[in-house]
Amino acid sequence: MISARQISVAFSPSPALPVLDGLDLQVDQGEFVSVLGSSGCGKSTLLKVIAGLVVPSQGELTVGQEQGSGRSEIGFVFQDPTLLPWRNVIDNIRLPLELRGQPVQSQLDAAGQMLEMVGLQPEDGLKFPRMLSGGMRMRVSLARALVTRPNILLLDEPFAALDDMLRQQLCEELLEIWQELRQTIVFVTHNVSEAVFLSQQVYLMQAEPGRLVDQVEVPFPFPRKASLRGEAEFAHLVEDASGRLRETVA
Amino acid sequence: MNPSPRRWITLLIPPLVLLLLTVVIWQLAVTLLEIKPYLLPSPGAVVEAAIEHRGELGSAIWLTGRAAGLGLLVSILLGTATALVFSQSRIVRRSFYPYAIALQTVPIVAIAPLIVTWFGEGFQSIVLVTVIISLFPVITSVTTGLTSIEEGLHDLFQLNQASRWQQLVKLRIPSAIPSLVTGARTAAGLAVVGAIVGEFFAGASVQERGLGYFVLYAVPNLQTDLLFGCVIAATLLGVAMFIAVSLVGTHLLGRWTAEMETH
Repeated sequence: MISARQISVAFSPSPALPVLDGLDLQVDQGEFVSVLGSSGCGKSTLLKVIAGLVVPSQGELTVGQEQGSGRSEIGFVFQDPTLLPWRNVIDNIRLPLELRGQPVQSQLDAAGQMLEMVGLQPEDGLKFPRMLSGGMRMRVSLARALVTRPNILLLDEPFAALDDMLRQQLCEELLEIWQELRQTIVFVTHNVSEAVFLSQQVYLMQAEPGRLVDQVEVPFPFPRKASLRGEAEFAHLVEDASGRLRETVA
Repeated sequence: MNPSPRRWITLLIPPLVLLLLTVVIWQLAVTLLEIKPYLLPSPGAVVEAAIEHRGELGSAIWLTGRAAGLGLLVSILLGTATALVFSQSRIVRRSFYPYAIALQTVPIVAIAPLIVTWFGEGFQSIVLVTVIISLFPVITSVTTGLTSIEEGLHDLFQLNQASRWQQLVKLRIPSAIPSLVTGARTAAGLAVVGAIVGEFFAGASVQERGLGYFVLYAVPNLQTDLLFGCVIAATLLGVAMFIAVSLVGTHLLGRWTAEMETH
């Protein structure tokens, strides 16, 4: 589904210090993977490369099915909710469909469905972003990414700014959505327990230059419940991944 | 978002007390030090002169206010249009923008006579001087608003393959509204200055006389009390224009401001 080989990205001020260098990543259709790394290791750049927002200076990238009709739909959840303050919730959610020129009624129907899917009430649809809490803004942002029914969903530390309780709750809800829609998900985070709880594969990323150096397979079956976090095996795996992550920094 | 009456009172009382104190000290100084009225008239004399000439002063405020208001309107429309062109072409922006900034430093007093030479005395020249002085803040702040888009929002539109037109209409223009209000506020104050300077040079031969002409006429006659009245009237006009633009701005920004405060 996503196949990246020997990807390198260098930005103009310092071409000698590439952000990504020789990065390999393979993600199968419907797989949920996390990319775990410290701040500034190039995780966000990797997502932007997959989304086509950053063109790699070297390497090969294939995204989506080869035979499919046209490009695959990609949904992107940014680090900040990046909502348009002058639009209400529904109008924010339907923006991607509006930009594609869909009929208004089908935009509104789809936006209404997504509102429900991310756990918001119909009356929230008429509120403006400034009236929402941080968690609700993130839900709106997620709904907007889902509204095009993407087969690839990229999330860039979406819950990093939220408190722990809310972060865990949103993780559980994200898993429910994934089990229903079965998109391919690449989730970027610096939170080890979040990565282990959510994904089937955790890739560890090193910085300077950014590349994936290790991976941890997470064997727990789905659906995963909140209680999984209290189990000994979960704690062991988090400990293991944390240890290996420290090695990438050393 | 609306300050409560209590808040208004706490906001208004300190400056009002200061104003009252200033007037009292002013009056005392003039009386006790026996300052000659043509150097510094007492506040009472200023008020008297203003009441005596209320008819002329009133129509002068109206005339100057009209020129300033029309000039401001033209500046906002022309400035926004210019900024839209700047936002769409980097080469145009890079070529013209330095001049847009440099032109702000041209002393308007130096070119006003030139404008009178070209366009004659009268209302049209006064408005033109007003536009020249109030246009550039609008151009610079709207251009900044249109071109400095948050990276995440830019990525969002890019990701959804928005056309240039969609980016302009659905992202850049709405994002620039707060900058437009800021630019218009600055321009409102400058427009009054522009109208008065315009009247210095182009307002003499006209039947109706604005504040600028009034100032020129009052000084040689040693009517310092009336001159003070003109200055106060001009200040109030500037404040009124500023408040009017701010009110329209606040109304327009209802959806924007609260969002920005939380960041």
